[in-house]
Amino acid sequence: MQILDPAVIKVWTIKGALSWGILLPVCTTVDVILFFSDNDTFLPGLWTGLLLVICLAWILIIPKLRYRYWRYELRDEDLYAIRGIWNRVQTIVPLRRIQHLDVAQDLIEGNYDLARLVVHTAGTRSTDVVVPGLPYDEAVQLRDTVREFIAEYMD
Amino acid sequence: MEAPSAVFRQLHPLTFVHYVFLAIVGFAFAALSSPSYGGDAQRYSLIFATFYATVTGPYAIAKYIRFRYHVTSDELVIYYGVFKRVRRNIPSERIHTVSIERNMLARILGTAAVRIETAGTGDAEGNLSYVGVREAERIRNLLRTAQAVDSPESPTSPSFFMPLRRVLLSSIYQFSLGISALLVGVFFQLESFGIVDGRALTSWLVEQNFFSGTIEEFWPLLIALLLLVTFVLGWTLGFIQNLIRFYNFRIELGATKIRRRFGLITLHEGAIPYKRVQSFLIRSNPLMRLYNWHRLEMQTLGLQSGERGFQPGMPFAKWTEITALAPKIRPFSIPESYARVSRLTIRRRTLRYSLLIVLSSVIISLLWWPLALWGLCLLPAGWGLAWLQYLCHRWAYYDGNLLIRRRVFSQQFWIIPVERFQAFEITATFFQRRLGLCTLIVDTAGAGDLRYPRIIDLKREEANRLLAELYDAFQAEATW
Repeated sequence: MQILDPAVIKVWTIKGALSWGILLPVCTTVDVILFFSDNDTFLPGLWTGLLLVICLAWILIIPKLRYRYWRYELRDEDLYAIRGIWNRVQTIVPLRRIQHLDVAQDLIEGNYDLARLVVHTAGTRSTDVVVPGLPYDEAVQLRDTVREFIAEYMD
Repeated sequence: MEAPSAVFRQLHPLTFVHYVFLAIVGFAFAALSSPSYGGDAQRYSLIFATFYATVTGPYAIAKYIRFRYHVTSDELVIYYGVFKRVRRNIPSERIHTVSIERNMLARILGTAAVRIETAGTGDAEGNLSYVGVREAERIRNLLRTAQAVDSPESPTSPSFFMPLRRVLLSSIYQFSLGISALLVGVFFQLESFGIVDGRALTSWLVEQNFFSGTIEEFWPLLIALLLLVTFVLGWTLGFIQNLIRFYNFRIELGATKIRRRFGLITLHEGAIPYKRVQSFLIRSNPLMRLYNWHRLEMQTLGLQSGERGFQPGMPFAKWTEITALAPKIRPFSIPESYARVSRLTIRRRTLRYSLLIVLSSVIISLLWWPLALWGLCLLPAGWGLAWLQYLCHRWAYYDGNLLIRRRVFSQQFWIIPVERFQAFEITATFFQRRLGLCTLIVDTAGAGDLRYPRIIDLKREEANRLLAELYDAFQAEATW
């Protein structure tokens, strides 16, 4: 089975830091309010500190674990993917069920020349199966292979 | 873009009455649900009403003027859009469903909404709201004639019909807490507007001297009374809701489509092509099962999103009626025996419920110590529930269909044809992995985010074996 590009760990780390960073102004505001009020229950800077600890632990551990458990394979008639840290998910998407395919790339992924292959089916749970952390050229190649396969069988 | 020629028609002029009615409802809803601060409520409402009328009024007029349609036996052409002009051509052969809907206002005004649906869309692709009733029938007949595959058949007797007595009986089993909650919300908003005086009502109740002594002495009685009122209200509203929805329910099985007609206030009339039916879901609760009553729903592809892909097929029917009619829509047969999931599911579920009970008790005990310790008495109930869930969860792969029965109270029985699968999934949580268990999920088009077929806590080897068997059958059966 194929593994993802290791650079995806950096992408997930940055995205994780940005996601947690949204909470930072909230926690800092709470701490400032508590500092200037008659508060003697909470230590000054408790919430901001707590957030930073969780955030640090999260971005140092989670991306590496996600990367470790992500595997995919384009087989003869389906796309097979295994992922998940706590909840291990094994998905089989028959190629004949694919409605359309996208290669997506955001700014952070673009910086590392990575892309995601998004597979759309008519299903509800697996409507979008996303294979992240693929080198851009490889993602395009994978998309074209699947597209050719579908076109060949449709004929 | 080519301008619509003279053959194009406008919507019924009384469409404006619908717009006004919708505006009033929208305004009332927004005003009632918006935060109000004492005396400022009326002022905010006035500002909101002025803003609403200024923006939506001219937009509604422009929308009406811009909308044009033309129907031939070959296609339906629609021009619409205020800021962005759109011309949509829907070829007749692509049309799957032409349904006519008439709500109470439409019936008073003599208008109807025509909804045209094609394959692969979540919502109606063409929506003519509103045209005259004769015009609606003309459009439907024109498009049906072109489809040829299901031309108007000679009137047949309904394949399934719910007389008033059965609708009333089915309504007895219904319960709706959602509407009760909405009513309570409306009550509080009316109070904030000064229309209802809650304090005066409470004072009046106290003055009646229903009981002597202080309120604190009778709080268990008050809670019991509140629960009783909630139950009665929920049951009454559930009864009314069901009666209005399924009044005069009938379905007819045509050559390629299932025709349905039902509703008291809003009359639903339309057809679902057989090929759009993805799976069946038969639901019941213990009380219904006691008298052998069930509800058949059809999971369909891309019908109105409000129904979340589940369409009522037989809202209240005996098991034999369902097993006689449903296979005519998609063939299936009921196996004599079913397989059970692993017994280890009892252990896993008990552990989960125990953790939940203990954690809740600890949190509540911080507020009401030692009262919350009584919550620990629920631990055996957790084990009981896990055991019942094990007993009620069964599955079978039989005659080209995967059949799954699960849940204790609101029981679900899924029948999924193997050729309708979209994707396969095996998931295993941390606890499931420790016990060598996993969940097998088959994804189908049109299932809900929360309601989808799955077999929970299969042994890993068994899940792999079943997955391989289902996948092989899928490869052999499913078409491109």
